Amino acid sequence: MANTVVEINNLVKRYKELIALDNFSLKINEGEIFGLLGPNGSGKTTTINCLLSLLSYDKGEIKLFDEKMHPSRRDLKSRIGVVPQNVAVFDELTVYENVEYFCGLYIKDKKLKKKYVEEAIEFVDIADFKKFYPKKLSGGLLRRLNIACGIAHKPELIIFDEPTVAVDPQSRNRILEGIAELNKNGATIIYTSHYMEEVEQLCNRVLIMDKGKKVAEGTKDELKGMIKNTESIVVNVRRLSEDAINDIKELHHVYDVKNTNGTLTVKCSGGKHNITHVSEYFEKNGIDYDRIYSELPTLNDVFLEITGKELRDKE
Amino acid sequence: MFSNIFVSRFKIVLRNKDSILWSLVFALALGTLFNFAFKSIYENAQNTTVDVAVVEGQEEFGTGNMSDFLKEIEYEDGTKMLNIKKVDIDEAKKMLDAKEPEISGIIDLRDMSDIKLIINESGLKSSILSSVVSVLRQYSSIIVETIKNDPANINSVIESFGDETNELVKSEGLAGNNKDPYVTYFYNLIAMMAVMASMTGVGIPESCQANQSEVGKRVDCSPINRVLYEIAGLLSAAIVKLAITITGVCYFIYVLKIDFGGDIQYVFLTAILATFLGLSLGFFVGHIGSFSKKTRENILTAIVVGGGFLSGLMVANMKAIIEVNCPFINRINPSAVISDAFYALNMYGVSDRYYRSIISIVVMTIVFIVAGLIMSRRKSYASL
Amino acid sequence: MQVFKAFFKLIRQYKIGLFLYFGLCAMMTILVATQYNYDEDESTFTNESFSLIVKDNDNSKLSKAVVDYLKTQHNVEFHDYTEDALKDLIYSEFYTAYIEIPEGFMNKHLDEDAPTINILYDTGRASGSFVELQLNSFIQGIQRYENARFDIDTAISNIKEAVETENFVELNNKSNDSNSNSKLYSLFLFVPYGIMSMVLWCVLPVVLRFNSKDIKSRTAVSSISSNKKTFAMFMGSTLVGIMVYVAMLILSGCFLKDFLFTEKWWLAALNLFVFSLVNGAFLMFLASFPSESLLKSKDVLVNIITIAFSFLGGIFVPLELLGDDVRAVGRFLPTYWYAVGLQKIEAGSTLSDVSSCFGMQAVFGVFCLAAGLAISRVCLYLKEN
Repeated sequence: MANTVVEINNLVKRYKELIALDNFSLKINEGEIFGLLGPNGSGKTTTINCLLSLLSYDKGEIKLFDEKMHPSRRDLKSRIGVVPQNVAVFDELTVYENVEYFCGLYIKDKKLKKKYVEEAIEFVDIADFKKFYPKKLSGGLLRRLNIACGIAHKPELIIFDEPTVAVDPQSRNRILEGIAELNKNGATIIYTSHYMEEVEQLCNRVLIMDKGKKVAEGTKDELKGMIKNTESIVVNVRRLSEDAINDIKELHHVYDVKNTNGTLTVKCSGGKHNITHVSEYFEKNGIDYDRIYSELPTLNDVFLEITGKELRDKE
Repeated sequence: MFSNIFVSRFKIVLRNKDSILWSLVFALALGTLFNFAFKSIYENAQNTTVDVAVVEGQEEFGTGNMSDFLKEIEYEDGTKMLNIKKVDIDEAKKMLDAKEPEISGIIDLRDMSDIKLIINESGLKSSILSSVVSVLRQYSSIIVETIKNDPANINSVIESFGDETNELVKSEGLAGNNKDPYVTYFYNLIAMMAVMASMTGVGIPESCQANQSEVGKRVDCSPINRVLYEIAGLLSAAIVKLAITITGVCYFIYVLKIDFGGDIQYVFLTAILATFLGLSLGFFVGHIGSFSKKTRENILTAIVVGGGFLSGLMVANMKAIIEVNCPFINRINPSAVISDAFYALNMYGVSDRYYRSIISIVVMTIVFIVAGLIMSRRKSYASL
Repeated sequence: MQVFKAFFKLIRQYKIGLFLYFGLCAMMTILVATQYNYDEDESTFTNESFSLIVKDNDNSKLSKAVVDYLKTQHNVEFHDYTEDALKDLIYSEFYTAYIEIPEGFMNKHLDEDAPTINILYDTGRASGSFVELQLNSFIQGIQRYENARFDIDTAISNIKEAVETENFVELNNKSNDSNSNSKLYSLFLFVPYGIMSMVLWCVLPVVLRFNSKDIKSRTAVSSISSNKKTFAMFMGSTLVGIMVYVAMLILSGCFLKDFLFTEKWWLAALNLFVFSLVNGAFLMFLASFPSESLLKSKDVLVNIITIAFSFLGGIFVPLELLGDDVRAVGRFLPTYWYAVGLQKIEAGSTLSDVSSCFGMQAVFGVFCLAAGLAISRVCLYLKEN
C-alpha cells in the first residue's frame, strides 16, 4: 500500500464570519497526481496555504509525510516544492539567477545546486533565456520560469496552483508534459486548475470542493459515474418540429433534449444503445440529418453538474 | 546558503538603479543647494567691524580722547569693533544719506554733554553703535555731574577713567571647531539620507513574508532560516546604502569643503552607523502589523519628513525648541539622534558626549533589528 | 467627466496617506506658528533684542539692577540647564547667551578679586558680542560712577538713563525702519511647503497611475481625447489642491484670529490660492515624464523638490538672509514670488502692488503646463518612431 503524503483531517478555517474551509478532509498518496478542483472562492488556495503552514487555521490537523505540519517544520518544507498561482520571481534577477536563488534556499551544496538549476532550466525549456530579466519574457516563458523556481530542488511533493493561467497552447502542453514527467520521476503532485481538460488529462484522482467543503472525490471514472448524465447524443439536423423534439424526449433513458442552431443534444442517463434508438427514430420518421455521434461525459460536465452553473465571483 | 542569499539580495538592491540614482541625486543636489544658500549666512553673522563717522567737537572738551577710546574697542575674538572716519557733520550726513551708505551711523561728539548717534535703520550694527555711545555718554555724564556737584574732584575722577574698572564680566565661548550653526543643515541632510535607507530596509521582510508579497510566499514555504535570510538581506542592503552615504559625505567634505568640525574618520563612522540605523528602522517597520506596502511606505515617509523637520532640516532651531519643550522626542527621533552625534563630534570632539550619541544610535539599531527578528519568527498568518 | 470621476475614486485609495500627510503638515505648521517670536512694529529705534538665560545667584540690589536692565533690552528667561544643554541651545541659536551672576557679587564688586559675571556665548557671533558689550558697559558704568564717588543707587539710576536710546539715537530715515514680521507673515510663509508636499505626495501617484503604460494605452484607444484627459486630470489635481488649500487656510486661521478677514489676510490668502493653482500645474509637468521610474522614486523626488523649492524660494530661511546668487536662482521658482508677494503684503502693499508677484507665479504655472504638454508630445513621438 502506498504511503500517505498529505493528510488533512476536519480542517476549519474562518475569515471573520466567512467559513472558508468547513471540516475539510483529504488524503493524497505517494506517486499520485491529485487534482483539486472547485469554482472561484471554493477554498482551493486556502487549503494549499494551510497545507504549507502559511495560513493559520481554527480546527483540524494537517500531516505531511505522516508528520504534523507547522510553520517551523523546516525538514518537511525542504521536501515540498510550490508553484504559486501568481508569478513569484525577482524582477531584478535574471532567469538563471532567479532559479539559482530559490534552489539555493533548499540546497546547500554548490555543485549540486548548479546541476539542479541547469536541469530545471532545461526541463522547462528556457535555456535560451537564461540571461533575460523576467520583464523581457513572454507570459508562457514567465510561467515556465515560475515552475523552474518551484521544482529545481527536486521536491517529493509539488503543489501547482493554476500553473497554466494565461499561457499559449504550446507552453501549456509543455508544462503539462513536464508535470507528468516529474510524476514519473517519483514526485507526488497536487494540481489545481480551472481547465478541466488539463485535470482530466493529467490527474489520477480528483477532489471537487465548493464553499469550503468536499463535494466529490474519486478517480475520473468514479466521478463521472456520480452524475446523471452518462451519454450525450449530438445530431446535426436542419429542421426539426416541436413534436419530434417531444417524441425524442419520450425515448427510453432520455432525460433532456436541447435544439440550438441546428444541433440537437440528447442527454441520456443509463442505457447501452441510446444512439441506435435516436437514429432509428429519425429514419422511421423520415427526418434528414447530417451527422450523429455520441459523447461520453467529461470532467467539465461533472464539475458543472456538481457545483452548479451560477457565477461564483458575483458572491 | 547565507552567501547565496547575500549575493542575490545584493544584486537586487544594486540593480534597483532608480532608487540608487535618486538617493545620490538627493544627497548631491540638496548638499550643493545648502552650500550655495548658507555659505554666506554665518559669515554675515560673525563679528564685523562697523564703519562709523565721528564728528568731533572742540579739543579742550576731550573729544580726541573719546575718538581714541573708540578706535581701541575690540570684540572678544580680537576683531576691531569700529572703523572710524573723522569728518565734519555735513560730510558725515552725506555719507549716511548715500544710496549705499559706507557708514552705519554718525557719532556726534560736538556737544559733550549730549553725545548723539545718528543711524539709518535698526539692526545689530546700530545696536552695537548705541551701546558704544552709551559708554561715551556715561563718561561725559560723570564729568558733567562732577563739575556740577564737586568741581574740585574733577581731575581725580578723570584719572579714575584711566584706572579703568575691574574685569567684572568674563566671557566663555562655545568649544566647537565649526561654530557655524548652518552646518547642522548638513548634519540633518546626512540624517535624512540615512533614515531614507529605511525605504530599502522595509523591503527585506517584504521579500520573505507570505502576507507581504508573492516572492515572500515562496520564501516562506522554503526551509530557510528566517533570521539568516533577513540578516543576509540587511547586510547586502547596507553595503549599497553605505556606498551612497559615503559618496554623499565625501562630496560634502572634499568637493563642497564642508567643515564638519570633528575628525573625518569619526564623521564617516557616524554616517555609517546612521545608515545602519536607517536600514534597521525600515526593517522594524516592515515587520510591524499587517499593513499594506503602501501604508508602510507612508509611515516611513512620515518618519523621514516629520523626523527631519523636528531635527531642524526645515527650521534650523526646531531641535532646540523640541529639546526645551519635549526632549523625549529628540531621544527617539532617529534624525535628531543622528544629527546630535555629528553636533557632539563638532562641539566636544571624541568625548563622552559623542560616545553617548553613538551608543544611542547603536542601541536603537540593535533594538529595531532584534524587535524585527522577534516579530519575524516563523508563523502562520490569519489571512494572506 | 469619466476621467475626472475616476481620478477622485483613485484619490480615495490614498486617503490614509492624505490624512497622514495632512497631520504631518499640520504638526509642522502648528509648531512653526507657536514657536516664532513676533515683534511689535517699531517706529523708533530699539536695540536688537535676543533671548537670554540668566541665573542670579547673588539676588542683591546690584544683581537685580543688572537683571532688570537685561529685561528691558532682551527676552530674559530663567532656567536650570546643564552646561551641555546650554551650549546646545546657544549653538542652535535658540538662546544667544547664558549669563550667571555669582554669589557675593554686590559686596565684592569693587574689590580687586571681585567675582565675575560669566557670560557664555558663541564668541564668533556679533549677537553674543553685542550682549556682552551691553552688559559690560552697564556694569562698568556703575563702577565708574562709584569710582567717581556716587552712591550705588545714584549710579544705577544714572546708568539707566545713560543707556536709554531714546535720549540719544536719531533715526535718519524712519520710514525704512520696520524689519520685523507679523504672525500672519511667519505662518503664511510656511504653509506652501505643506500644500506642495501634500499635493505631490498624494496626487502625483494618482496622476502617474493614469499615465502608466497600460492605462494610457487603454485610454488612448477610447473616445476620450488626450487633451480632454489631461484637462480632467489638471482639474482633478487642482480641486484636490484647493481642498488642501482650504484645509490649510482653516488650520492657519486658528492661529491668526486677530488677522482674519483683514485686507492683509485676504491678500495673503489670495497669494496662497495662486500658489496652489500653480502647484497643480507643476504637478502636471512632473506627471508628463515617463511614469514607471517616477513612481518608483517619487518619495525621494518629492523630498528633493519640496525642500529645494522651499530653501531657494525663501520659505525655510528668510530671503534677506540668502545670498544674491541664491535669490537669482530663486527668481525662477513660484515659492520665491510667493515669498516676495507675502513680504509686500506684510509691508502694507495693495492688490495692484502684489499682482506682479501673482503674475510671476502664474507665468511659472503656464510654463509648466506648456512644457508638460511638449514633453508628452515628444515622448509620444519617440514611441511612435
